[in-house]
Amino acid sequence: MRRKEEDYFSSKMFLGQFFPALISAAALALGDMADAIVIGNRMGVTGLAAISLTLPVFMVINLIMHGLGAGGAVRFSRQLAQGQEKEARRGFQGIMTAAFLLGVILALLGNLLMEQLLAILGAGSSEAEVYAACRSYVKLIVTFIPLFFVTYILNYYLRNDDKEKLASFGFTAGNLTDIALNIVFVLFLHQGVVGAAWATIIGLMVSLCIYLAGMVKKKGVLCLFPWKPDFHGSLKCYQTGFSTSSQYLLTMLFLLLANRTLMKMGGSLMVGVFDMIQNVSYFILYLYEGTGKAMQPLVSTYYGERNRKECRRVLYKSLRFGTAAGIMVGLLLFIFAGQVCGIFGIHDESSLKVAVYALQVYVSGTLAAGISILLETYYQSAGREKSAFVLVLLRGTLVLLPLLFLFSKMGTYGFWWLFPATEVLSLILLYLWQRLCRERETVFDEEKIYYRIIRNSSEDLTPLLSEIGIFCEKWGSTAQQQYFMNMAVEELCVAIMKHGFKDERGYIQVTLLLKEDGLFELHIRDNAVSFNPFAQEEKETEDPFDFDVLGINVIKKKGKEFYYRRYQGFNTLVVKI
Amino acid sequence: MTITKNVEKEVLTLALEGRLDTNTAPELENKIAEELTADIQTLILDLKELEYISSAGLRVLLSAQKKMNKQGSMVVKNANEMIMDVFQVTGFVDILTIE
Repeated sequence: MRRKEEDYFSSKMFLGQFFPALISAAALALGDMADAIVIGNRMGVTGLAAISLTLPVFMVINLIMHGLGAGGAVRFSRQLAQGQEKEARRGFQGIMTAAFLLGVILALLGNLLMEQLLAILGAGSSEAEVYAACRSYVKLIVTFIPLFFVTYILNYYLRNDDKEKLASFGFTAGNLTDIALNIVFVLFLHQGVVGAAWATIIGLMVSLCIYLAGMVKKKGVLCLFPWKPDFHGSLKCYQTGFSTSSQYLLTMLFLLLANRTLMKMGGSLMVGVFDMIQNVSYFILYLYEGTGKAMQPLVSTYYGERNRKECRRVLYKSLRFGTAAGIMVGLLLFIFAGQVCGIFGIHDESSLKVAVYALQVYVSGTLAAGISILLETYYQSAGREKSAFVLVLLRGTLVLLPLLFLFSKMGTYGFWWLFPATEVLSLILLYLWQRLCRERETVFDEEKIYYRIIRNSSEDLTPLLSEIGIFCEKWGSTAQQQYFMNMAVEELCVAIMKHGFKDERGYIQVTLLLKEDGLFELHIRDNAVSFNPFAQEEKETEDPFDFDVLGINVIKKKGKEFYYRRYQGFNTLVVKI
Repeated sequence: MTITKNVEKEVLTLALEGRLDTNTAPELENKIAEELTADIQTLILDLKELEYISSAGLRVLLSAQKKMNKQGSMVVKNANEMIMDVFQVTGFVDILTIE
């Protein structure tokens, strides 16, 4: 089989996810940058200070919602890959309910203890105008915490329920609404930070309405009724997602320290340049994060199928596409660094010189940062949470903070090498740690996994069936398991070839694995039109049997479990014998 | 799949060896069409060495049974445990004469 054919399923699925995710990432980056530009231009330091003081609240929100969302979505995908549709749905309902209740509790506490919260945020010592603005902003954001949780977590799940376009559309529409309303409320209606907060909240409402409407319109696994939430896995989900969400905690710590250091080093110029870099970083890093979002459902699915080869293939593809997009944007920012600084209001010659230098140095490190972001997502989706967590920890604290201290001694220009140095050193240390601790993908025995792609040709069936027989025999199957596994593969492949494929360009991906409980689990994926062999109904024929369904009925009777879903544009079948 | 033929007067015996699946079923179908002349009264399918049968193979058996219903009888014998299980699950035990 040619390499292109071997790559068929992963390529199609990845590209189907990649472009919508990239659009979402660009929209999110624009949204975040627009907030800074609009508020900065209109309200000056008061507005920016009020919003900056609120950052820790957003970090707490991010910490919880991204932890639950990423962890829940990984578990959801794995469960679906193993045919556990009911469990996956109940887990989703559990996470959504837990997130909503937690959001309500936080909103109530935040409102009841508003003065104490503002003191913790550091607003107590600020000027009266900043305090009032901060209070109004925090009050609104805290009140709508449940909305943040529900909307963002739902986005994660939709990406894993074959609704990546809906997720991207809703997310983009929400962000564009946020940008548009920011301009209307802040620039035209002079609503200040309250207007900015309402723009964010209405943007979230728009996203949520689109998600819910999409869920009702096109039924998937995700639904809220009948409501039978399962809370048992919620904590475990959070542990899985913690490696992603913990970065928000670390970011908060770094921001506090960096701002103080820069203020000492060069006053508002350095802090201003740093703010500009933070905003520009959204643009490149969100591209990598978007690529990571495209990769995650596929790696989780393949991990559920224990198909390490395809997990790696998706990772390499993500690295290729993600770095290509990142390098392209990075080059543009490098070349047009002066113009970019101008957008953020940095015009005078001395400031511009430092800002352009800083931006160009920062951009040179984004390739390593992007690779780290993609590796973090990969490790998290492929059962290597420890590696993901170590990388986050290295980038966010263990390497970053000592280097912050070191580079703060290197002057106005030398300081900016902090970012490339942190990213490169973190990757090197991760590699050494993995070697030292032998942390690698040893979760499942690859020997116990059989994998092959065949064409839409009965000629390809003979070697496939022969290899299936050898595999089953090698791993101690009973005669009955071997027989009916062979029959399952043959009957399903023949049914797909006969009823699913419309031309010869059909491919069937077969994965067979031996589970710990002694059962053999078969995964079949094909690029035919939507076709569920298990749902075929017997037709009236001259014969006493309808041979189109006869063999499938044997599989349904002999299999322990059988399951079909249309996922990522392909038919996916799971049979356990 | 290997098919061994034996004819004694009006009794045709076909001994099947290997796998009777999507790719080999047409082979048996052709063999039966070729050997099943009008003077054959009994068709015996000896499955002693047959390891595997799928729905494609069952279709050929049913077709042979229908032909033999018109000119005599058909007997299936020596099917292994797995194949018997398939006959049971599909209801072929009610249609075929199995020894």
